Amino acid sequence: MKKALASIIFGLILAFGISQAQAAPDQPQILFSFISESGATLEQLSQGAVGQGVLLYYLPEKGQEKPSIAVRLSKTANSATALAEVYQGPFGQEFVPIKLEPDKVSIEVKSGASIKIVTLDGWWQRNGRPSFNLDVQINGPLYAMWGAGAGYDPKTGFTAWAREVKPDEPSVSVQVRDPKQEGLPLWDWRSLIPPFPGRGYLRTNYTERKCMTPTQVNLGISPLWPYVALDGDFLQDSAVLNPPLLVDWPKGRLTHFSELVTARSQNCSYTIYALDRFYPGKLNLANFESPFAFYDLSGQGKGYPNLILRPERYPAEDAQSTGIDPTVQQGRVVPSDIEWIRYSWRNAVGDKRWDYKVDVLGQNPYVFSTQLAGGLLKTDTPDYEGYPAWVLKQNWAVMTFVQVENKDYLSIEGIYDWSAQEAGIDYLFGWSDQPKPEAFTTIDFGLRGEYRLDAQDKVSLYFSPVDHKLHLYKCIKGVWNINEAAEIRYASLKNDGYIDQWVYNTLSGEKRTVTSSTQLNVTPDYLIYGDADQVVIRQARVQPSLYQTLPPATPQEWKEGAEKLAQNKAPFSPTDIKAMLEQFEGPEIVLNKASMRDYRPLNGVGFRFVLELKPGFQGGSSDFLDLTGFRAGQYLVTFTNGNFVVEKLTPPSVQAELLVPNLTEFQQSNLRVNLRNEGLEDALPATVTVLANLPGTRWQNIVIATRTVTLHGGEQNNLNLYWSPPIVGNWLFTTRLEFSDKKLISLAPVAVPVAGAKEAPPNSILNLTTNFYLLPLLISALVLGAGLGGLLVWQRRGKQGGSG
Amino acid sequence: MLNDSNASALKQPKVAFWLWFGPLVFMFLIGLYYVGRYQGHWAENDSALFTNINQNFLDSGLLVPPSGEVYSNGYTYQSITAFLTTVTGLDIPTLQQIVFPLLAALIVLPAWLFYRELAGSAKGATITTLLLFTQPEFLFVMLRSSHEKFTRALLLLALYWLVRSFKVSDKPKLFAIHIILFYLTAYAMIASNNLMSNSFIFSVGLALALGWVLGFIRPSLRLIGQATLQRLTYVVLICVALVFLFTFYAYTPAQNELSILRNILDRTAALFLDVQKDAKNSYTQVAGAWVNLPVYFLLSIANWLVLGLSFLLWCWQGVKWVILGQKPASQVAWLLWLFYAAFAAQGALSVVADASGYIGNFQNRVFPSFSIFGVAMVGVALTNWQPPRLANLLRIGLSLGIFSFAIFGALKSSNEPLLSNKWVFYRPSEIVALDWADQYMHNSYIWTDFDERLNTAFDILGKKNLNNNKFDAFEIKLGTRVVLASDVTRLRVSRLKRALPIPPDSLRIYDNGEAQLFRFRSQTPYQR
Repeated sequence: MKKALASIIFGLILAFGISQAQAAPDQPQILFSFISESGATLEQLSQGAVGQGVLLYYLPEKGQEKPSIAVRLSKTANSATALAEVYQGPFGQEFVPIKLEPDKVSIEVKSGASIKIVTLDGWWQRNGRPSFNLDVQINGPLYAMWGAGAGYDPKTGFTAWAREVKPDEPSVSVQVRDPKQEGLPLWDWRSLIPPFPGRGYLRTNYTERKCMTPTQVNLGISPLWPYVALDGDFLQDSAVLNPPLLVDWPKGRLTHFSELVTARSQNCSYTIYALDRFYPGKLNLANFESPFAFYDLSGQGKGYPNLILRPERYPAEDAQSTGIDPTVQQGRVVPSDIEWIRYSWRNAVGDKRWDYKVDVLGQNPYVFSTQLAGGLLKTDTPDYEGYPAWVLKQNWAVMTFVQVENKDYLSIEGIYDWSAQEAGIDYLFGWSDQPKPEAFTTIDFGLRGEYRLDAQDKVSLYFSPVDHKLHLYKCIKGVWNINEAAEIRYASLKNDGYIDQWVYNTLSGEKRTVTSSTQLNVTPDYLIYGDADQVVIRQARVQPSLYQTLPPATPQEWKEGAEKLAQNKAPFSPTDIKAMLEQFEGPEIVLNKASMRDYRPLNGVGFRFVLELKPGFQGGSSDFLDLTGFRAGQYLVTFTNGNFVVEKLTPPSVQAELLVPNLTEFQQSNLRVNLRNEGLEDALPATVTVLANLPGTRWQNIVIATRTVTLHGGEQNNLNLYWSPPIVGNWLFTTRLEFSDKKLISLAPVAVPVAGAKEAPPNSILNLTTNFYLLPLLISALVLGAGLGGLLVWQRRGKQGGSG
Repeated sequence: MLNDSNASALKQPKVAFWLWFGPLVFMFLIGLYYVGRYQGHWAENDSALFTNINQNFLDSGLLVPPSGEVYSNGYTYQSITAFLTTVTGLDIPTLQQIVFPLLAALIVLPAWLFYRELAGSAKGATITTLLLFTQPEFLFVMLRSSHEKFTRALLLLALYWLVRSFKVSDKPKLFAIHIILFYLTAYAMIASNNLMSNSFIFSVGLALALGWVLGFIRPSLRLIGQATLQRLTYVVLICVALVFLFTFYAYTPAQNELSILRNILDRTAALFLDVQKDAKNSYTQVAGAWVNLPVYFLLSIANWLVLGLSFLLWCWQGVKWVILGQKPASQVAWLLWLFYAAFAAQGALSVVADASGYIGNFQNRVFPSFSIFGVAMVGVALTNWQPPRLANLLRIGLSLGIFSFAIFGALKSSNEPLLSNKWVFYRPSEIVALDWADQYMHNSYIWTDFDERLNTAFDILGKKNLNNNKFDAFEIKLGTRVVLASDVTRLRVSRLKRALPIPPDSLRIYDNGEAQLFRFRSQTPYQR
């Protein structure tokens, strides 16, 4: 009795002190008391003594008779383990119903304990270190796994699966291990127990610490049973380990069992968030974020990684894969393995900020057998150590590259923007003929992005001597969204793997209309610069890349990569296009009062562009080009076979012709549209639409096909369109070309008769469905049967059968 | 107690052999035609589905196989199939395509027995049974190979035991045997399909309630004795309890269908009206399913005649008995009137349920149930109607009618391809082409036909996709790049007035003379 009283007083003093220290101004003050039922003190139980007692956590205004939660601690003789049972009141009741006696607490909760925690160590806290060799069984709703919806809201309660489980239904099982009893757990494995068929819930959470992060261990409200926090979240803060049990104190509701091995807020970890539950004794095919890996390549991390690999992955035919893009999948699972991985790194010690990301999309199967949970589990995921190298060794179909240029990008999961998956999984699976590059037309302010489609290649980066930046090797295009008023657009027009065009645009208005452009085009022999009032053509050979490199996979690579970047830093403003030109020397022609547009390479070494000479143009000449005597006007400058040719520009003149073959109802036929631009100037992109009409019927303006075409000056483009006429008649076909400036060209209608399809002849149907010799027998059986029916009625109509 | 003299009711005169054997042979010949028409090469949705279900049942040896296809509404059909395949050594596709359509003839017997009780004569039973088996919708569900064949046979048998039990109520031993047989049959029926059985029990309950209400209003309609009424009430309650026990305890997969229905209204509709999710809309299918509308109506004429005549008879009797206060000729006649009303009401409610957003399947599900009582109404009237002057004319008309209805019914239920656009046959060469595609392609979507014809054929033969290929049908789906074209699908082009989805530049990658596979030209590296 005396011991019990002493425990209560001790607990009150301790709790008051801690909760006072921890509670923020708007936080409730939490007290706790300990009622020993066996005579053992809380300290003795905490140390692993045999005995039993109850911890009551309560708000001062409610008193210990109405605790928000209650925890029964027990350890029996001859048992190596100790048990803690955590109780909360029934739903709708803000306290745990208890009967308090001097040395006994009766907890009157019919549904039983909401959480049962078994410490395999047999003690709860020793030398300031909590036991983290725990088996935890959670019953009922609790945010005990990552991905349990939006968490807990004091007003609306739980979301996702946590809303669906019954109060006494086993919901989550947790295993946490700290093999060296360091007071910092090594791994944390959680499984969602109810099957929830057809729901895309995370059923496995697994996180393993992969290096030591200096961490402060918070012992919570009751340090002798160090698992109850005053407040917090499911995710741990960086470099701090808070107790896992969170409570809505005023409502007396357990809300969280927080992660004990943090995925994101330490230097190194290996995490799996899978939609399927993992089981021991089998190779678990891990889907979704498997593995989510965090690395400290600096070796000096202070609670944050500086390399994160975040995948989304589905094995072939994975039933959970139907939700990747439901619109295009229409309920179909992925036919082959698929994953997209963002590979984000920081060129400094990890601090939640990020510098670069490579994002890849591909169909590389996981063919591993990686052990987790001290050998309890096996998955097919790459292991922690080999994962970055594995990513860099694979061929990928789509890649993007993002550099954080002029902002702080704060994130605990790396850089999200420009996921390679946005190119479309339908394209990757061959379901669609076109990728979706439109996903990569713009990017958030302060970021620079580049993308590559149809790659089937390994990731490779290179350092351009033109702008002194890393670029994605073989990227198609890119954009740096500097701010609301400016951007730089990049393109690899020659498609030789390297950026060869930089265009700095100034923008205005909500639609960000381009108001002026400055561009630099790099060809094998010339640099061509143009701004609003000057064109410079400089003869110089510029090597496309100073060095090729890879995203860092090891501390050594990371260090060398960062050093190389520092050594080659641009000596000019990174947005100064003219300065990029001025780095390179050579003979040049400078054309003032001139501008250029529509630059494009020709046949590898050649190029062409439209030169606009303005009033006041004084001419100019060099060894390679003489524009003396040229007057204001528009000219086409072409460089082929080592020579410049300048000729007066002729406007685009598009000729089109629709060729329709003989058509038959319900038969697919090939309609051809021949297009030719007879002018020298490139035509704007045009949308070609072929329509079919059957006059006097409901068949009006049937769209046969719509295609977008580019018609270069002097070039031809033929389109093959397939169509099956739905009905016989004299059809009229019209072709329309709508250019991006809304200019419209309509061709004269072409009249073509559609012949009727042959009817299915009855003898063909009979031939396909029955045997010639069997037919009489069949007819006989049918007639015989029907005749028998008729006969039975005929014969018996007059003669009464037996009456029942 | 029924009013009829039990003694006279039990006195069964010797029945001419052909009166019951004739309809059996009749149905056997129809079954023979059904199987022979396509030389066994036929398939349809439910029959194909049950091939998978039965195979899975047989392979696992468990009432509820742990994985694969499980029929969630009952297990009788699977059990019978497992028994037959074990005893005969025949494989499941053979049973499904050949044996079960022929076994439909056996259902004649419970139908004949039940109708004999309703019509009061063997002659009436024969006419009514023949009328029932010329109803195309009923014939279709009897001929195809699904649980329905046995569910409806058990339903007719249960009704027979029930009606007979009233007639032997003064013979305790015989009475007890009939009651035991009734509940055994009722449980077997529930175990065959719990929803269909429950909707039937619901109708029986509805009939009783209607009888009670009308008897309350019109004393002349108090034909059912208190004891009988009480027993019938027990029958309904016990059967509902059996459905409940079956659904929630004996065969838990039966809960699945209920649990996935959207709300309580849906569940109620499923339980009491026997409408099911994802059923095809029969009404909208009518116009396009046949070469033209007149053909459809001609082939369905037996349906419409029975529907119209039975309704007129029901109205006429209703006016006489309910409005004018005349007493029905017999208690059985009154029961038949009530049952007819209950099933018609169920049908009407099903139509309302369909129209309110549930995809309708009244024609396929409720109409066969309704037709059991519709033909009884017409059959009994024809049996009893003996106008001396028109006797010969009626005799000729009825005989020719049965003859014609039998042919029309057989043509409609077998989806005769000369008349129907919904083809249920396949050519072995088409299956060979599908086998080849499935063997040599991986992760591909392969378009097979304008509808599920070949997919169900593949399934009814017990075949499984080997390399994660998917057979696609109807509108070609995004990602399908291989198309099967056969002599049959080419014939369907002009019949359905739809084009084969094969671009002219496609590559023919397989040809066995009758069926070809075409692959679209690759437009991207990922389409190779």
